[in-house]
Amino acid sequence: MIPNILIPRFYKWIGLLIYAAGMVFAINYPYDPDNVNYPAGLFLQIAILLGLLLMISARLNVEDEMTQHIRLVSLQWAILIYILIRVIYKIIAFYALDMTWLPRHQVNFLLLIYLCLFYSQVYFLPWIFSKFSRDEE
Amino acid sequence: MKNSIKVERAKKNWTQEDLANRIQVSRQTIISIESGKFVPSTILAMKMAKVFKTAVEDIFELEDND
Repeated sequence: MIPNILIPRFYKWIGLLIYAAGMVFAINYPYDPDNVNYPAGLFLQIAILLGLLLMISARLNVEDEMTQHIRLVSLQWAILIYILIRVIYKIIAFYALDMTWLPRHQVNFLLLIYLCLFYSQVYFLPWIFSKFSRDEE
Repeated sequence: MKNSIKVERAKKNWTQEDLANRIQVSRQTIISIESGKFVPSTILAMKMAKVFKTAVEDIFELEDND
């Protein structure tokens, strides 16, 4: 995420593996995954955060100033979207008088939004544009 | 900011990929700069001018709203 401390590309896949394993474990975990009083809960949280951190810190095939720009803009949008989602959930919790609506997995969610925005701008959107653009070369 | 990268590329008969490799950026970056979606830094602009063997101001031009 920070241009000066990016890690090699293959860490993206290691991060994805750790994150996927953490999520599978979290889904099957009988207790509250947010409860770090149990060692498994703590391990789970660390695994998910570590997986996301590796994915967002992995270098792209070509790192240039535009990718740095995309990283920055993605982070800005991720924070904005994250705040909006949190506010909406809090309003729902307030009116429904149901505290289960209160947002959880806070940092994870922010990093996930960032990942989606970043990779969509790096891979998905250029692919879409190239499909509809005749002006290739 | 307007730019004439496409014209300069055509003069040299380079593809976007050729130019991208010469200045060590991705092809996507060249596409974005050519279409005006991304304004390059001074370093990248000077690298382009160098590979095109021209001046930066011959490639990039300010518009009225800049």
